[in-house]
Formats: sequence, structure tokens, C-alpha cells
Amino acid sequence: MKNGYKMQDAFERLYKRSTHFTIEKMDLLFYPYLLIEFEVKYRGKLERLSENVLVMCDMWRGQYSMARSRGEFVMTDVEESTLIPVKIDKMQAIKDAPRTVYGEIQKAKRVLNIPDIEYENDELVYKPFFIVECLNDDKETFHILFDAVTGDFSLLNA
Amino acid sequence: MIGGGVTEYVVLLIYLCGMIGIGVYWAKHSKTSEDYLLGGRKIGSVLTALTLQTTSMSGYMFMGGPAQTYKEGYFTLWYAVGDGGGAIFNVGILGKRMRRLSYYLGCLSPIEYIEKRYPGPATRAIAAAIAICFVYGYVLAQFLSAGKTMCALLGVPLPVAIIIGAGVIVFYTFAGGYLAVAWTDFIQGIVMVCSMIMIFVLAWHQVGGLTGLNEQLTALDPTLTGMWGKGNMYLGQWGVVAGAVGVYLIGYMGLPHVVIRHMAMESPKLAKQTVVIATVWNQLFIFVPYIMGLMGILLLPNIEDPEMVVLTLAYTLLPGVLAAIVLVAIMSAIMSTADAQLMLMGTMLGRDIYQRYINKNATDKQLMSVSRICILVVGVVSIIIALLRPPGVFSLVVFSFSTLGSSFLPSYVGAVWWKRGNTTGCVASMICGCIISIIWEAAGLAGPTGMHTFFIGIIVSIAAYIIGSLIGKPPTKEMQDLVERAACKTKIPAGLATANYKDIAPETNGVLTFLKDSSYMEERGFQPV
Repeated sequence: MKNGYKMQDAFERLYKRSTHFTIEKMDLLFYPYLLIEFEVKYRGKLERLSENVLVMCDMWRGQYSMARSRGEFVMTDVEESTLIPVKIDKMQAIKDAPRTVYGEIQKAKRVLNIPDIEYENDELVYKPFFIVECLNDDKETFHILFDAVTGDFSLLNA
Repeated sequence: MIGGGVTEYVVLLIYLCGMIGIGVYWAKHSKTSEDYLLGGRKIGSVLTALTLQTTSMSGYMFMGGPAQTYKEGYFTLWYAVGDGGGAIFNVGILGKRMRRLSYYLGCLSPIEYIEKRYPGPATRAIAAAIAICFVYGYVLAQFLSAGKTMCALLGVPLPVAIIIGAGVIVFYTFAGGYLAVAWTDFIQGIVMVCSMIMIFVLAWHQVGGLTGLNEQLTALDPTLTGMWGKGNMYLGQWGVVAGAVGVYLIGYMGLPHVVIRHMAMESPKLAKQTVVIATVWNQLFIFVPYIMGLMGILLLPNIEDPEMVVLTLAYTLLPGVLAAIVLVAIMSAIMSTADAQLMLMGTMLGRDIYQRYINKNATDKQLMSVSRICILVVGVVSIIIALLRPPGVFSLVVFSFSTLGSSFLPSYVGAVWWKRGNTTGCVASMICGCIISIIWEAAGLAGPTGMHTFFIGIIVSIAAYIIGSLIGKPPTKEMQDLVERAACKTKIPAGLATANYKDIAPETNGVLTFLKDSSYMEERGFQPV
């Protein structure tokens, strides 16, 4: 996935939140997702509908979520050790993903009939994160995980 | 037999089917051993709070507790006072730190946690032996209780009642693992508190409120409203009072099937919310059964079996369906404790025995399958033993709580609060706590000495832990650093701490697991996470 935030942007965004710490080190890490596209056909009360939906499977932890859009991707060479390995079997992920689609459709549209969900395609993508090592004013270390696509961040060891 | 009508059967059937449904649902969601044994460490605060509390409260709260108050008067409320604050102590002292340290050490079971925090060949062997023996006794007793309750309330023959009651527990625990246990506990917790409040409100009105209750009890026997028990049976025995308050105030911190809930929390940050929710639930639930025991003295003066006070009040004051729900609540209280203990048995046998001693290279899938099989085997064997009803089962359980509490409490608390706490202290405390509790209870020394078994057990165990830790070799520098990190004394600048985005919480957990298992940080010269 294309990172909207470069290293310098991450520095600025973090320092904007506080100046009571210093960033010591920062490095990239890539998180694996399988982006699976399905065609969903279902019959509403009055009409027949068909739409394409995207499911993102976390290929490290095996969790599924619906994706709003495909996003932007770039092909780039990266060090292999910065890639979190894929632990989930691709075929199993494709087999399990429709359950998430059913759940979401039922929540959103309250359809009476079970929709037909047909697999269209899939793509293995990696989302970039920065691992940021920081020191507080007492020179104690803490780490931050910075999402290089959205700019969200989370404390790693809190 | 109190119930036994069609309504009771229908309500109970719906309830049992619901529990089975939850087991089936979660069976499909456990993909790794961490999912199956710890719910993937993604249990939120509400679920953690309710599973923690319902696991702690067994059928005793509906039957034994009110019966004791019926016999001893206000004195029994000392137990409720301790119990009411139990969640604050349990989650407040252990929650956050134990969640962190167990994660850093990569533990899936509370016994593995003890062994990794206090490394040594004796640690796991002793801890596993004590835990398996006494937790198993507990499982057996809960199965028997489930059967006896159904038998007494519905008139179902005891063997059939045991097979149905215990069979459902075994099924959903076996199928759905920790997540099924947590979700059934959640529902059971709601049923328990709602039904208890329902009867309480009506009984409260019947006795004329607190003033009416106290006036009538004093007129009957002034010592019933005193703090030393009926007939001042415990007059001046502060050791008994301290034990009564302390047993549930701090005792839960020593129960492996309870503390494992801390390890399954989604994030250490949830500990504060969990304390609040668990404490609110406690205040709504815990005092009520004890006070209903007091009300029973006035409303049901001639009841044959005081253990039936709550249920008799329910059938006297509530319409049929609601009374049947109270019956379900009693089953809920028993099942929510039994499932947690059964789950822990599977975890210990799979992780602490199979993976540790039989197949060290077991894959994640093998571990999950073995844990599942262990739950099934333990469950089926327990049902068979329960059907045979050997003598002495209940007497083992009588001191299970005190023994487990005394054996493990200092080690669990010291693990995260005292970095000097070491293997020698842990082993000494487990052995001394266990032995003294068994001797005290078996010899019946609590009465003559005025010292509650838990009180004496915990004093000896804490002393052994401190002395052993001071004599023994200090833990390694790495371990001491880990304990400090679990305490998380690092001050995070306010702007960063408050802007902690929840949207990337799943990735944060995933990245943490990866960083812990890989050499990523080391290769790049980062400090370990």
C-alpha cells in the first residue's frame, strides 16, 4: 500500500502531539493482508442487486474486515526481514472470508434471502508501518507503532 | 422438589440450548491455540469483568451463602464485605501487570506463567500438581452441584441430571474454548444479577425495608444483628473475622482459573474499566443473597433446608416464568464456575503437561487439539466419577479455595510487584501454603484457635515467599527488567498517550507478537519491546 506518510511526516506528526520526548530510531515494517474481491448478488424486498465488495484478511492473525476501497498500491523492493510473514493459508482465507460478507450484509441491509457470494480475485498486499523508538524526559525508552498510510499511531508497550 | 412444572423445563431447555449454541458458534472462530485457550487475548473490558466475577461466584452464592446467613445472622456479611471489594483488589493489583508480564513471557496458562517467572524444575511440577489436584476437585464438585440442583428443583433423577447439566458444560467448553466460556459467563452473569435483584426487591418490600428487617431480627434474637454471629459464637475472634473478610477480598488472586482472565484481556489499558464494571456488578449481586438469608429468617421461619431460601422466596413471590428464571440463574452460577475450571484443566494438561513433558515440539494445531481432547476426557471422566458419587469429594472441595489461594497468591502478586521475588520464595510459598491449609482444615483447627484456614495459610505462605526470596538467588537481570516493564513506570508524554488510535489496535497486537518472536528489533539496534 502506498504510504501517505514518509519518515519525516511521521516525525512531524508525532512531535506535534508532544515535545516531551525524542525520537531515537525509526524503521519500516510491512504488515500482510490479502485483499479479496467478491461479487455479491442478493434480492431485496423489491429489487435484485449486485455489487462488488472487498474483504481484507490479516494474514498474520487471521482476522477479517470489510475494506471501503481498494486504496493505492505501489510495487517496491524491500528487505525481506521487514515483511511480517504470512501465517494464514490463502485458500483457507478465501474460503472463510464470505462469512464476514454475510455478517456485514445482514447488519447493513437486513436482507431476507441469503445472498450469493462469488469470488472474483485476490491480491496479497503489505501495509507499511513505522516502528518508532522514543525516549521520554527521564530518558526511558518506549515504542510507537505508526501507520504510514493513515497517520494513526499507537503505543506498543503501554 | 420445588419446581418441576412444564414452565421450568421449557425455560431450562431454552437456556441449555442457548449455551450449546454459543459453544457451536465459537467453535468456528478458534484458529490458533491462543484463540482457543485465551480467546486470542482480545477479550474486552465488559466480558472480562463478567467472566471474572461469574467464575468467582459459584452456586454457593444462591444456596450456601444465604443458608449461612440464615443460620448465623449478620456475621456472614463479613464475607460479603470482602467479596464486594474483591474485584478492586484482584484486577487493581494483578490485572494490568499480569496481562503485560504474561504477554512478555509468552504464557498461555497460569501455571506456565509461574514457571517462566520463577524458572526451575520444581516450580511447574509443584504448581501443576497443586492446581490440577484442587481445580479438578472443584470441577467434580460443580458437576455434582449442577446435578443435585436440577434433581432437587425439578425432580429429575440424579444420574440424568448430572449427565445433562455437566454434559452441556463439557460440550460448549470443548467446542468453543475460552471464547465460549467467556460469552456464556457473560450471559450467565446478567441472568444471575437480574434474577437476584427481582426477588430482592419483592422480599425487601415484604419485610418493610432495612428498618423493618433489623427491628424484627432484633426482636427475635438481638445477636442476629450483631457482628459476632448468632449467640455471639465468634465473640472476640478477630482472626475469624479477618479470615472471613480476607478470604474473598484477596483470595481470588490465588485462584488459577480466575487469574487467567487477566491474561486474556485485550489490552492492559482495559484493567481500569474492568475494575469499575466488575465492582458495579459485585455491588449489585454480592450483598443481595446474604441479605436474603436474613429476610428468610423472617419470611420462611420453618424452612427445612436453609439452602433453598432464595429459591423458595422466588417461588413464593414471583410468577411461574420468573421463578423458573431464578432456577436458571442458579444453574448459571454453577456452570460459569465449572466451565472456567474445566477450561483451565484442558489448558494445564495441554500446555503444561503435554507440550512440556510429552511433545516439546508440538505444533500450534496439535496443542489446540490436545487441549480440546483433554477437556473432553476430563469432562467425561468427571461425569462418570460424579455418577459414582465417591465419598470425600465435597470434603476435598471445602478447602480447595483456601489451599489454592494460600499456595498461589504470594507468587502471583510477588511476580509483578516485587522483582526480587524468586524461585526459592515461590516454591517455599506453594509448599508451605498448601500443607498448612490442608493440615488446618483437616484437623479442624479453625474453631479452637479462632484462626480461619485462609488467614493462617496466607500468613505462612507470604512469610515463606519473603524469606525464600531473600535467601535464594535473585532473578536474572532480564527477568527483573521484565517485571519493571510490566509495571510500566515509563512516563508517556500526555499528548501521545491520549492520541492512542484504537483503529490500529489489532495491528498493534499483531506487530507486538511478531516483534517478540523475531529478531527485527535486535537486528536494527532497537531496545526490546
